[in-house]
Amino acid sequence: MKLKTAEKLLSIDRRIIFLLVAAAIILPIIFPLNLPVNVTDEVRGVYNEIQQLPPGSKILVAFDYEPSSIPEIEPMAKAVLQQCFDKGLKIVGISWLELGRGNAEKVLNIVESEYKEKGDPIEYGEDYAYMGFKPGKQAMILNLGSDFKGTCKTDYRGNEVYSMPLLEGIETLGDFDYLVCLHDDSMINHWILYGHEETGIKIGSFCTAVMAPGIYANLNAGQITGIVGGLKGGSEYEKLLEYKGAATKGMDSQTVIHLLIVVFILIGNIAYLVKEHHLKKERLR
Amino acid sequence: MNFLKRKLPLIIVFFTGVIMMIAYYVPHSPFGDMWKGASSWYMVIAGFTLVLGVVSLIRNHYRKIRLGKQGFGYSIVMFITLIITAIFGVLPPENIYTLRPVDIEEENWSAFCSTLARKGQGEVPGPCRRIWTLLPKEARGAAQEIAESKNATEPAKESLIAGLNQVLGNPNLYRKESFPGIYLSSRVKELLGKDSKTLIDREINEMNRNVLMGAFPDDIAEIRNPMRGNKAGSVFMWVFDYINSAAAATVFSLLAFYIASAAYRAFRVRTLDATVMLITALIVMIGRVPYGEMFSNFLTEKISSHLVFLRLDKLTTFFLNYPTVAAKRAIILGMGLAMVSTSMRVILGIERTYMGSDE
Repeated sequence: MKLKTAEKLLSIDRRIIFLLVAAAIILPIIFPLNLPVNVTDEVRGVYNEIQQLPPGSKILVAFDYEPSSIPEIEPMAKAVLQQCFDKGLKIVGISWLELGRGNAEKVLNIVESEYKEKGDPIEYGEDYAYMGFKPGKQAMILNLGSDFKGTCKTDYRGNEVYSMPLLEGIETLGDFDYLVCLHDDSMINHWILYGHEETGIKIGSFCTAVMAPGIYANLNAGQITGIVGGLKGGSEYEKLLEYKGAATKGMDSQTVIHLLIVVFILIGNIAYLVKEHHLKKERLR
Repeated sequence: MNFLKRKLPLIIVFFTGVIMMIAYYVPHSPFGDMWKGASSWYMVIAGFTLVLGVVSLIRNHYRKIRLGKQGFGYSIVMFITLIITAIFGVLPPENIYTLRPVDIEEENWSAFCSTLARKGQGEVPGPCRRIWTLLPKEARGAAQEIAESKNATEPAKESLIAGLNQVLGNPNLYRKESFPGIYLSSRVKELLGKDSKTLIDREINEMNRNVLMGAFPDDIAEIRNPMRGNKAGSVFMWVFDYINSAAAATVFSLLAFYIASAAYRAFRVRTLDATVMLITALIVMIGRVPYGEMFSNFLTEKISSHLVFLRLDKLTTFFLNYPTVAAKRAIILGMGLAMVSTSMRVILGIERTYMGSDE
């Protein structure tokens, strides 16, 4: 490669890069590639743990993600809620993030209407309930560990939790059979530290791709049963549930954009090395 | 003054810190109760930080507007959105359980009134008979008029709707023999189980509207979403779904463009460290997508089965499970030790920055 070509490549207009990125994202949505998805052990760790629970078991779902993470986390949320409702498990939702409340309400409404359309309606108060946003972060988790109902007092609709049939038998966080943590930040560390370590509740992490590498240490230590990370994890979960949702569809775009970025890095570095080589030669002269 | 301002906070922090430490290891009375009380206080105080946040936001943006600083237009937008969402979010939701003329489909009016008038005046007990007996005279006349003329005029509709709303306000509308086999949700069953004297008007309307919907599923529309309050369908949730979520997702999505551009321009093999990072990043990026797996599977299967460990998905899992975990554990341990030492410095009064800039 000549020096001029290398320099041209290195000073390429960023708008061209942006156009290529846009095309890499949009085209696979219009023309799906239907790429195969392999299920990893981390994802299976969460799926199996929920799958083995008997009907009627109670699962706490922590909706701890912000609206910016909806495209990544909402498909997982829908998938895991569907798995739970199909198995007859009972769901109790909670958020310790103010904005998580809106996300929780949205996804629960979507799932509820889907079941209604299927002719198998799920009912608030019997099949699921949502406690809403509870402030206090670490203190809130510690309090849930000693007195769940006393900490929540009312659900987000204002109903008293003491009279809720769904919460019969739930005194502390440890009485739940599993905790599904939908998060886009380090909230899971607090659920592990103050929830799992204090009460022994089993936890499954459903997180954004950028958060996943950081919690492998917890997975290795046995503090969580599995990780469903990013769209990839979501698509694997959808494969286990045998349906194609938003995560599976999004994986086509993600695959192409990953490959495009790899190509960008390679071209950028080849051009850089060629330029450096020429400059070195010139200096020696 | 010096005592109140400097020494007292240090004494409070010292005793609180020491008591909380003891309570963690000795969960019995009185420390256990102190622990519970303190964590409940913490939750209440944490709730107030939201108020503090809003006050701080208002003060900052107000100052920007008052001084006409660059970008003060955005502050005005912030105020408008804050006021709109706050008003619609805080206001109590309107009564969504009362009926409006649009809650009965235009083409169903005639059939609904015919059934109501015919069965209502019959001898067989049922929903129509029960409602008919509770309807005021004018509403019955309106229903009869629509049934006979097959034409639902606006005054007739309004008269019947007013009568039906009166029925919806009757706490004793539901009788098991009058509404046999209708679907009742657990919420309605709960309301029906309560003493009618303890129910508020809104709850009576909610209960009866659901009963009415159960009796006439094809004629009476589903309960509408409230405009006010912060439940699904409200203005507050509309703002959340279509402005907040959309704007946040858009800003986050822009990252894809900047990451691609930055990767092309700045991710270089300048040093050994950078080269190791680049190679690892490339392997993980390809190994985490189906094409990468397919490609490396093909290569390892075609060349030699001994090279399975070089499959990109296997290498990715290795990187995530070993080098990443090792580094992360070191960070976690370091953070833990730092937290302990910082806490000890605060408890012992060595670290005082939390008391303000004077310290």
